[in-house]
Amino acid sequence: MTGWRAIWDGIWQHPGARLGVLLVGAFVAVATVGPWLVGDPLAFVATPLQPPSWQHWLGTTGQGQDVLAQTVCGARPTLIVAGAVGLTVVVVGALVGGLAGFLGGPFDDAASLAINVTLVLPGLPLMVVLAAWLPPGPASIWGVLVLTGWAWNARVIRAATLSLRDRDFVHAAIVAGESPVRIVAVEILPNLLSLLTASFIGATVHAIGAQVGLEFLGLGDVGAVTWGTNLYWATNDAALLTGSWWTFVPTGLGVALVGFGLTLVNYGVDEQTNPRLRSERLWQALLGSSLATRDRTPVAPHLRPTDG
Amino acid sequence: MTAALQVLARRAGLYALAAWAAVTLNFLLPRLMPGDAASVMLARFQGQLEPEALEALRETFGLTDDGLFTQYGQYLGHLVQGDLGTSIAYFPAPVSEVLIEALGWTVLLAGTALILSFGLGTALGAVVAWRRGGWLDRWVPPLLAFIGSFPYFWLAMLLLAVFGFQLRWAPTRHAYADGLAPGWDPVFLLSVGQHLALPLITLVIAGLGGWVMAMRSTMITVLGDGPVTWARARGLPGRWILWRVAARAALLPSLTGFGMALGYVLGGTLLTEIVFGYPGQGYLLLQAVQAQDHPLMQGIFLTITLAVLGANLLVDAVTVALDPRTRR
Amino acid sequence: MGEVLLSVRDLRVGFVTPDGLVEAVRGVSLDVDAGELVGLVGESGSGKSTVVQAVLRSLGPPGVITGGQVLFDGQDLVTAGPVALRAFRWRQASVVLQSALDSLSPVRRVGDQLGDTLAAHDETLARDPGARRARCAELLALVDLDPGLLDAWPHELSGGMRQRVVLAAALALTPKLIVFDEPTTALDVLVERQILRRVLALQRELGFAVLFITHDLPLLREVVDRVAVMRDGELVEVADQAALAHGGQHPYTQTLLGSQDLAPAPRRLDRTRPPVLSVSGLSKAFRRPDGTRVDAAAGVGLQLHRGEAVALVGGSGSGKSTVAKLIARLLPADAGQVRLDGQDLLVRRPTLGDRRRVQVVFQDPYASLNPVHTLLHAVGRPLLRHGICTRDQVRDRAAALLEVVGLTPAEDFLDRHPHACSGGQRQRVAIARALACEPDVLIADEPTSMLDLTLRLGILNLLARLRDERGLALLFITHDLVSARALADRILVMQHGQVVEQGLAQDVVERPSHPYTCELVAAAAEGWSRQVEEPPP
Repeated sequence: MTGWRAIWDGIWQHPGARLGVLLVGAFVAVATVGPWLVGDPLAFVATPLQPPSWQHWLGTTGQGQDVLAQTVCGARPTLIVAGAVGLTVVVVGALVGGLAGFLGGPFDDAASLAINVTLVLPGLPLMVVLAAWLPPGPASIWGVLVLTGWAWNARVIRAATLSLRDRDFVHAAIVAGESPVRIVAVEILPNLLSLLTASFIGATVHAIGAQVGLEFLGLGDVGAVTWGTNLYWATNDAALLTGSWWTFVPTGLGVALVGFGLTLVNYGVDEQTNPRLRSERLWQALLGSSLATRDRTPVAPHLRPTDG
Repeated sequence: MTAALQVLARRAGLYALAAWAAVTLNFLLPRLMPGDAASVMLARFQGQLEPEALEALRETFGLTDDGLFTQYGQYLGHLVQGDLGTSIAYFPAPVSEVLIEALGWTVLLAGTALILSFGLGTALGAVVAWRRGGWLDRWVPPLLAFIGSFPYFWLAMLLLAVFGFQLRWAPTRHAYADGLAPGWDPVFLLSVGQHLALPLITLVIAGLGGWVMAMRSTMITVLGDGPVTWARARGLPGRWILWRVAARAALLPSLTGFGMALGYVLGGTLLTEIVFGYPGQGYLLLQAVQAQDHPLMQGIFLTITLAVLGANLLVDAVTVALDPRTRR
Repeated sequence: MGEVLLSVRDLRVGFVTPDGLVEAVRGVSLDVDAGELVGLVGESGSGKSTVVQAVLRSLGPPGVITGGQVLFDGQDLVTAGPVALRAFRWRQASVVLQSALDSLSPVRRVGDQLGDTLAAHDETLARDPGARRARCAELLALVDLDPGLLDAWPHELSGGMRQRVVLAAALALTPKLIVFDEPTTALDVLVERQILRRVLALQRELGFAVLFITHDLPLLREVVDRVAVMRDGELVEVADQAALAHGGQHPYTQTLLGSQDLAPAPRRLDRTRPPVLSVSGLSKAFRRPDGTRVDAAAGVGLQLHRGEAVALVGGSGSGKSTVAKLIARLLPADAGQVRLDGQDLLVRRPTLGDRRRVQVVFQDPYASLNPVHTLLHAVGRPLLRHGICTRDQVRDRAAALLEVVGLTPAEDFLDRHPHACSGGQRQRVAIARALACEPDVLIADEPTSMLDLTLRLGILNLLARLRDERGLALLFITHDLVSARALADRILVMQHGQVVEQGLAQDVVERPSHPYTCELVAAAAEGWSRQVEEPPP
């Protein structure tokens, strides 16, 4: 019952999710077109550590570079890597988790073990030791994030597959002689579309944060302009000591707004996964706060049923 | 009690396996890199380190000419004795020595922050779920979610800039005032508390949203379950239903979530320490990365991993103890 | 009987959905007198539970009461405020909820939960733990439970004991009315009767009125003072004992009472040819979480000929579904042989050819079709998978199959999704899908138990027709002797994983020998006693 269309409808009808779409859309637009509209982010343009002014709307960095240009140009690589990680992680998670949940037996035991071990190892220290051995750059970051992040989604999708596994339509597919991969890919996963979407969004949000964290430590390509390296240089150039808040606040706001926007979109997607949430939200809206109590059924004689 | 012990034994087995995986990963990583690990290492540090340092480095990684399994055995042997090799950034100090003191400070900060934010967040999450649809539920979760969208260390930077440098209400680095000698006297303890304040507040605020949302969603499920419906039907007062029936039922699943989030929260703690110059493992991590001090990096990874696994086992033990169904 | 205790007048209840406000209860009026036993009967979706929850003002979101009055002892509950409702709840009327097994919180002791009930309504007991405990012990004794259970945890009690604890809680404040909202969701007829007998005994002793909600009208037929029958949110009939003795006035009531003639015409069957399906020694054991072993199937054997229908009958836990799954190779067997035309299938993993020959129609029409696929996909995929036809022939073939099962015109249905079809239509599609690959054996696992009673006969007739026209061998799994009698040539009765009796359908039903079979027959007797008394044609 949920196709892409239904998911989009669900998102657009949820006021919070709609705001999220607009936020994320705005940043994607900035990331795509922005770099052509601002100057070279690495060029020396003025005295270092200048506060925001009319010439430089967001001021200058500790190396005399334009903060606005750096913030705008930093969006693209960050969002692309995060999106790529999110996509990879969901695909891997869907295959591993789906097959493990469906097949059970030794495959499930092995997969679950791998999932649990990966989940229980602390993320950041593991990422650091892995990234430290790899050449700095977006590919390494993608690799490290996928390696440390695939397990969470695999577990979630495995659990969802288990809940569907004993539904009669899956039994019917088995009795019809379909192969396990086909059953997982064609029968089970399409029923989990909203869950997969929510997983993708969640994984992307997480990837933004993890990426920025790694680059903050200096494990990314510090010569490149990304949101993470912006924050790395802000600390290196003693922004705090000099009170130069403009060197780190814009980037941080960017990260937070995109992350928050994506989280908001997920509220809308959650309503598709759990339609009861949507009915309750509509009930709340219809009755208004004075009537919508939960400890006794509300009485609303003025409401008329919808014909149809 | 057998059922409970069985459950715990399985979890302990998992943690032991994870610990082994971490240890083995540490061993394999230098050897997985293309080219001879030893020469790569040497080439990188050529001219920067004296010959003794290079030799110590070689030994640390066990890059001798013996076979792979012999090296592995030697490596494990060293580990068991607590020998994590020699640090490069702090040469000639052994890694274990460098780590120990930092570990204590991290545990103090992280432990306090976790307990505070989990406690506050879970209680708040229960109330917010109970008053679903009200003004509390409409504003608090999104606000906390927005705050939680900022990287932990960024919030640290903000708070430090405002309260540390601008308003000068709190000290701006280290764990205690320079010049004070460590001891259990009130002056020292007070200084520790002052230096702990900002990092602690940062971590609590940053992490609160996550706990609130997790508890809220667990509670929403519980509020639709049989026991709550029955409690409502019986006309029990609202407060009783919220705390005695619902929150109680939601406690066990949220404890499980606590265990799983430990590793993630710790990552944020490490990065926050860097901003505050707090001498914990996070600060060490930065030094290690900058100096490409692999022994230290791996040492930090190992100690953090073991700490997290140990904490997980503790949480599991508490969960099992609290769940009447595992008692027989 | 007595004076009117509860008077529901023109109650209207709706649910808020994404498509607007949907009415679930349309002007229901009902009275319950003091000390009376009133039944509220209907199938799932009829609105009976909604009515009761609305009456008690305990219906949760997205439910809304849109009209009517509910007078209890003169007070209108619909307009009552929180204080009045608190005084009413549990003191005047209490509830035993659907699946009472889920009502007890697993993390608190039984005694604490019972005690809460008392403390919430009685100031003196709230302050005096000793008196409270004593009263709880009294309540447990009332339902024949050991007072020592007060210190037990819910998971240490059996399902039946937990049900009695919930009943004890309902009696705690000696209410004037107790509502039983489908207190047994089990299909097992015998358990239902035990519960009812206990409730009747308590009612005689304590004198409260009972509103008993169930989908099983025959269960209540002999004990109610009055029964209200609901369908699609409306009250269809309120029948007293006199009306019920005549089988009910409204046709729907009659259907619920099962007072229709389902006995088929006698047939001759050619059993000289070897059976198409021959099962022997089929066994499967499961391990419970606490380590004990359960024999779901123990040495089961049966034979099925082409053009024959055999029914496998038993209560829940008898093993009949397990046997079906073993034959369909959805579960691996521990031991035994399953022979198709003499060849044992269990010696190897199922091949595509094996799969083609044994197909299944499942119980739940809402879960047996994949919600994301169209009906064309559901019926057409097996055609392609087994190479029955080519891609360009699929649509026509699928349409033909839908026509066979009575979904005409097929073109209207092919591109629909399951949610746009009714339960009966979906079950027909499931049958079409099973027929697509032209199997030799069709296993129908409780194909009608989740359907409205008015639809069951249609499905059973369809299966009978397919059996006759295509020479299908039909294995029919059911808990309901009545439908078994209607469709099957032979009946096998299962209990605890073993076949305890078998024979021609008529013989098993009219002259049962095994005690378990006798119980089943007696329980079903209310459904078709008219048939037995009717002189043979």
